Amino acid sequence: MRLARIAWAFLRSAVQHELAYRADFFGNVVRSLLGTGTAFGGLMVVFSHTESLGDWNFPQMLGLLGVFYVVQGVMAVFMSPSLNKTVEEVREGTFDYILVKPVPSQFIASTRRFVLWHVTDVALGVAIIVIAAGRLEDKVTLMDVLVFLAMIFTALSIVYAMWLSLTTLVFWWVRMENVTMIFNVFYETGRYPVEIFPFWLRQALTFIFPVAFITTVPARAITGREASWLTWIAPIVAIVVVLAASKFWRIGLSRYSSASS
Amino acid sequence: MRHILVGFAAFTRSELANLFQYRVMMFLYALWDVVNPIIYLIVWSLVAGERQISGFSRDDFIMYYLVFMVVSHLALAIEVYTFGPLIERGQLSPRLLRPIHPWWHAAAVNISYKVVNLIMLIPVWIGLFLVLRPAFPGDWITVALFLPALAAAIVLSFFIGSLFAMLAFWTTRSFSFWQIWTSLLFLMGGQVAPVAVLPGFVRDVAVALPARYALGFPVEVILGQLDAGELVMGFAMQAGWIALAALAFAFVWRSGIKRYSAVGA
Amino acid sequence: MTADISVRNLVKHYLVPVREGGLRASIKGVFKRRHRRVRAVDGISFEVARGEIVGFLGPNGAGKTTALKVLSGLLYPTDGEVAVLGHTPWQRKRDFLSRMTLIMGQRQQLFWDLPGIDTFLVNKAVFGLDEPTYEASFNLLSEMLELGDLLYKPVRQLSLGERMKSELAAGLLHSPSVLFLDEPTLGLDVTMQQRIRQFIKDYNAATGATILLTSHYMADVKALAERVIVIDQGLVLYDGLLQGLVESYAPHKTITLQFEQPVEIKDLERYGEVERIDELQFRIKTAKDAAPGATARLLADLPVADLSVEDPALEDVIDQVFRTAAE
Repeated sequence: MRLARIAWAFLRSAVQHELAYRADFFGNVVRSLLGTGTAFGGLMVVFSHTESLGDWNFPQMLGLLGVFYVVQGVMAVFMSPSLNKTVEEVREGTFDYILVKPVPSQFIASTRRFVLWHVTDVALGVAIIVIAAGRLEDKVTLMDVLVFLAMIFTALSIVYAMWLSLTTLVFWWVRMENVTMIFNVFYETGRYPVEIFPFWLRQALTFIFPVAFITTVPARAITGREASWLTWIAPIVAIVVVLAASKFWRIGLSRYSSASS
Repeated sequence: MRHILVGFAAFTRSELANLFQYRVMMFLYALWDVVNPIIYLIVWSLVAGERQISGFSRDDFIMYYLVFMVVSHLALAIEVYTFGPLIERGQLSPRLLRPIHPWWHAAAVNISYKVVNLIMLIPVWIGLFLVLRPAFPGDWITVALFLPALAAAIVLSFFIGSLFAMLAFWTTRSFSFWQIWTSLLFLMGGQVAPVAVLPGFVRDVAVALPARYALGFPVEVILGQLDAGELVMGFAMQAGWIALAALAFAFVWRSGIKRYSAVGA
Repeated sequence: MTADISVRNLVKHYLVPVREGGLRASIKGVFKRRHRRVRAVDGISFEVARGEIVGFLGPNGAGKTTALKVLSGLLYPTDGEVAVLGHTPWQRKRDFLSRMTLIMGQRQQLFWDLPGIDTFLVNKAVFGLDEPTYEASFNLLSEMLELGDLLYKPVRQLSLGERMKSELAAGLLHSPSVLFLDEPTLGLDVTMQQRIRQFIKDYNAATGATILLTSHYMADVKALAERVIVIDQGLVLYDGLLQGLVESYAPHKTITLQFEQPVEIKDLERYGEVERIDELQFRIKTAKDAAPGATARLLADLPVADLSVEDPALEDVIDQVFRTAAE
């Protein structure tokens, strides 16, 4: 309850900050539209020469694209700003101020900053998913939606765990200039279903950098494709990686505390 | 002239040393240049299968994206990230006080960046080539023609990138404009697909716009996909766009610096 | 004596958008921007002769930095004529840029992640210095600023003072004949301030360079400049010797007294404004002409243990200048 109040306070200050710079808002809407529009155009180009890509048809690919933007948006609103800020502070030595606060450090490190305007990505992503669902051959059932929501939740948990782990690396490797960059390079592969990639790459994108669970699995659920075994293990994977990331954070923290003077 | 060469060489030396301080970041940027073409390499070889798409076989697509990987890296405009912020933060002033045009420094930054990144890219590229072993459809003539086309693409994208960077003289939102250009490069510059593969009217638009000449054209040249008429037309378009971009560059710099000096450096 | 710097009727106005608070006002602002004219420099004229050190004084926003930027060619003026070394600065001719320097306290011309020496080598190339010239200049600066091995450490690892020394050296490598120094000692500790000050003085003596500097620290000005130009709100309030400034704007002296035994304050008040330091110490501000008489009577009438007469602090004088101007 107390933690919720703190998070609310952070969120409120983010809203105020955003309102102070609301001129940026329009520029960012334009950027989001351009981003999704370009991706949509890219799909059109590919599908002008084929009916399906690795047995995903056009509406299904559209659904995947929607999922890609929803996750990217949520990540950019709630995760990357706080954790990037943490990396910056560890590097500059001001992270100590976080440690002396009577609140779990992982909580502050991951909730104190929000960049709200990225909700435009979420909104566009949802819109794309709705359009895609309308064009599917089979009707989307309530069950599909429920499974989809569960899969989105596991996807976001996994994404969070990855962000936290990447951030934790800063305790060892202080000159980690740009965590966002590492993540985005791999996240780019999430625009396409993991099945189209060759075997070794598919394995890597499932088990090492689990982009499969982040976009492919939720997209399967909402586009009426049969659930693969990945769907069933997704919640377990999510729980394991979140716990592991949290443990990793504590290890990194103890290293920080013992190393700094 | 001599002082420009000496100055340019000195800038390049320091910028190279500077960038080597950021090896990890540079490696990530190099990775970025690799990941996207690989995705489209995979997508198109899947779509092509055993058939030909607008004259591209599966091997052609693979070769296209392997070369594209290098070209897109070399013809990347970074000025929006390197020069634009100098204008926004008022850090252009120290450079204006040096008795050499600031763009010589910017050009040195551009070249250093590419040299350092190329060093990271080469091993990855060789590895990919050995794994995929596509047949090379061109010959020594297309290779010889590739070099001037590449040089022209690099120059053109430097001018265009600089134009977008200089928008910072007037607006704090130059980045949104820049994204219009990157979208154009993606769709019509040969990134999402070779220009020849684009559907009907989109291809006609792409042939007229500058994006192709700043990115995809050299790749098309080396693959030997273009006939003599298309080659001549392509080089002419490159020359035309460079001339236009250079004119715009000179004009925008002059009025931009006037504005910078008017509102407070 | 030739004038290295000559400024005639220099005017620099800016248009700045007016921002108002509140949602409604900022929405209106999107469609219609209101502008306000800021008269940063509003018609100033002066000349600086070769080899002079001149202090440019004024409160924040007085137009000092704007004037320096016009003089060094970074800004186009709204109106007026400026000649520096025979050039119009904002044309930024190569010859002009090679013979002057602008050093701004907080600005960074050094490569942040590289040792200072790299910036030196770049400047050597850019200014077209040949090896012996570079060598000589480098040795001179390195000795005067005691650079030692500072130049071989990445700039980001240097302290503020060390960075300022490197910045100065980098800006002077091409032996400019005109120096514009904007707050060269800002943010430095007292020892470092003194070092930089001494360096500027020595540099002027050694090279005969013309120096125009601004500073917040009166100590800088007192130590360096014989002549000062005071500007406020874009206008020149005073141009002349530092000593003259004190005399014309501070028509009073301060008498500091130490008594042997307690005295009545009202016995002192007839000489001027009294400030009590402690039980036995007082300070009296008295009119300049009245000071000798007052001193004599104080010594005669009261149990004085110690007495001194001083000009007021320069800060107070400047303050007085601005207050007079405002009235």
